[in-house]
Amino acid sequence: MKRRARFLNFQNFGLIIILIVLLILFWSINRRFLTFENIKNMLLSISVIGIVAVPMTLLIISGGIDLSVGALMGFSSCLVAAFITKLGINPVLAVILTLIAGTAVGFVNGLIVTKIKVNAFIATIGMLSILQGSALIMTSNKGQVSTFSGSIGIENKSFSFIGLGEVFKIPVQVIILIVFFIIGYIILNHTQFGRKVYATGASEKVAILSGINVDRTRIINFMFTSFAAAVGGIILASQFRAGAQRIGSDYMLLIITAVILGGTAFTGGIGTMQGVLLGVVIMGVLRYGMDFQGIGDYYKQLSNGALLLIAVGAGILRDRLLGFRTRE
Amino acid sequence: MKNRIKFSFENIGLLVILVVLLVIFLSIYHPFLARINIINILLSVALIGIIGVPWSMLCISGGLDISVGSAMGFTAVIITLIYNNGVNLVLSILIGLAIAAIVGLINGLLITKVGINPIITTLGMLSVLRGAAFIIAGGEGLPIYNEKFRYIGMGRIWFFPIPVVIFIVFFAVGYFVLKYTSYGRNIYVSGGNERTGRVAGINVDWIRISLYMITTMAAGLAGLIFSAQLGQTWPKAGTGYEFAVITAVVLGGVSLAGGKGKILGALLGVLIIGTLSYGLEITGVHSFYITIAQGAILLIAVTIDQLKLKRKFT
Repeated sequence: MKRRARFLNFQNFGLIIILIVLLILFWSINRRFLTFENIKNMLLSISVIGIVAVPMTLLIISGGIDLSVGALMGFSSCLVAAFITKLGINPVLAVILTLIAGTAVGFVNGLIVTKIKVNAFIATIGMLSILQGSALIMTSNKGQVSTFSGSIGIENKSFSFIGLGEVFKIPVQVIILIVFFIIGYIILNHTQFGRKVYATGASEKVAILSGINVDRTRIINFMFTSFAAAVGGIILASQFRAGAQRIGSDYMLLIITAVILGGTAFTGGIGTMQGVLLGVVIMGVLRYGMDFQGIGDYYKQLSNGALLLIAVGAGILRDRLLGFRTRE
Repeated sequence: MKNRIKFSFENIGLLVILVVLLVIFLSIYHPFLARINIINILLSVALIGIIGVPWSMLCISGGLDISVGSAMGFTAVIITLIYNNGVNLVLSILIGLAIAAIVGLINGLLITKVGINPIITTLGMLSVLRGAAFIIAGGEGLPIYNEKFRYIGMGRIWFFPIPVVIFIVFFAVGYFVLKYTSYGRNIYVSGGNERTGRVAGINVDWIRISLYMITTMAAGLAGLIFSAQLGQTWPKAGTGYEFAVITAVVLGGVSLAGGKGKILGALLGVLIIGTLSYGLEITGVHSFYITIAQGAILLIAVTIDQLKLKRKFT
């Protein structure tokens, strides 16, 4: 008998309620919170987070994690900027090359974690540092002494379309976000690969015995995640019309928080794409709402960290209540 | 008996690396080993070492903490603020360290009692502390009103700078505790064979919690020293320090999986990292390359760590 998981399980339902409460809260403080323009800006602010959150969800469900995504976003923005501005390469080609480079990073991450069996956290932290340094070197001027990270400007009309353009009033980034989510949902719920992802995360030994190539599954997830991070970096570079290392430095925490908020567990095997979508939107509403009220950057940083802790803690408590294993 | 020989082999290897580094830098830059420079190396190493000693012990017991850098800035800000408001210096420091201990306690509880993954917990805490440091400090650096404060960072006993003295004390205490006390043995068991430890009656959770508290306090102390040296307190202080600590400790043979490692190895790791950064700075290599080097070294060190573990099973 085939048991189909509910589209909106208990956790997701709770998230919807939280989302509605937040929206009502912010709207009651300031009626203009829910105008078309503001909603559009809010979606803009979370589109990059959501784009990377999709494959990150697959990765975490399969038992891995990638902490280098933020650094990779910054690196990709610098790379694509360097291609366009310093090497004069056609923007389409530059984007393709950058995407290939980003995916290659994911491949390396995957190899280190699956073949050399280094802990994913540590391995991707190391990669983070390498990407950071490389991005800084790319954007530094000859003989620059200060540690201020430089940037490479991009003056290209067609390239700017990615970050600033709109199709039927919907920003390009948001369209990319929607596409990613649809693809992610289909992969996770309607393909054999999706089942392999769940199986790998739920119990690696059983998955191997079932004939699933867990290494390959994880490597593919790492590559997909890095690919998305490169996409994010390119979008941001296009939006800011420059590539810089510090683009994306905050994003790693936000992406992971959104994924966890959406009900994905670190121990693996648990998580839904709908949940992550809700998680991303809730974070967007929170952040945008705070911006709207003029709450400072430092408070946002503090609340990001606190939110991560709350989200993870709540997830673990939920898992315990449901009887899943919570410790590795 | 076999263990003993292996231990010497690893540490001799590290010692060789250290000597090679020194020789390389000496040949490039002759005044490198002038007395002042050795003291400078020890100074920059001292901060990493002060955090590194309890961090190694925490790691051996099976824990991990990447919030230490933020704890540095956070505690320094609190101590400076209290001190600037006229409170006695010693009392300010004690209050600051107590708050750091509470932060460590929270980390420990979240990790052991709630069960959150240590890296994620301390990642979240990293953000919380950094944001809090900036908020409390009002966004900018805090001046230090009284010169007495700087003694911790700038003073000397004989010709050793105080931070170096503190580092040596930490190292000695850490070495002694790990090697000769039952607490130290319990630390090894907690990391190496947790289940057996619990069955044997060792309170693994509280060992780890106590180490989280000590590590955060040590980070606070390091932040304090750093501010004292600078003469100003920046909430940004310590950013990225966790990286240097992790790399140094792993290089020194402490396994991130827990249960293995010696303080002597950690000391060598710290010295190597310190010499490397200092030497690169002196010879004019851009700090960006150092960032890449740190990441690469971390990956290489962890890889070697893994390969060693694998060798044990074959």
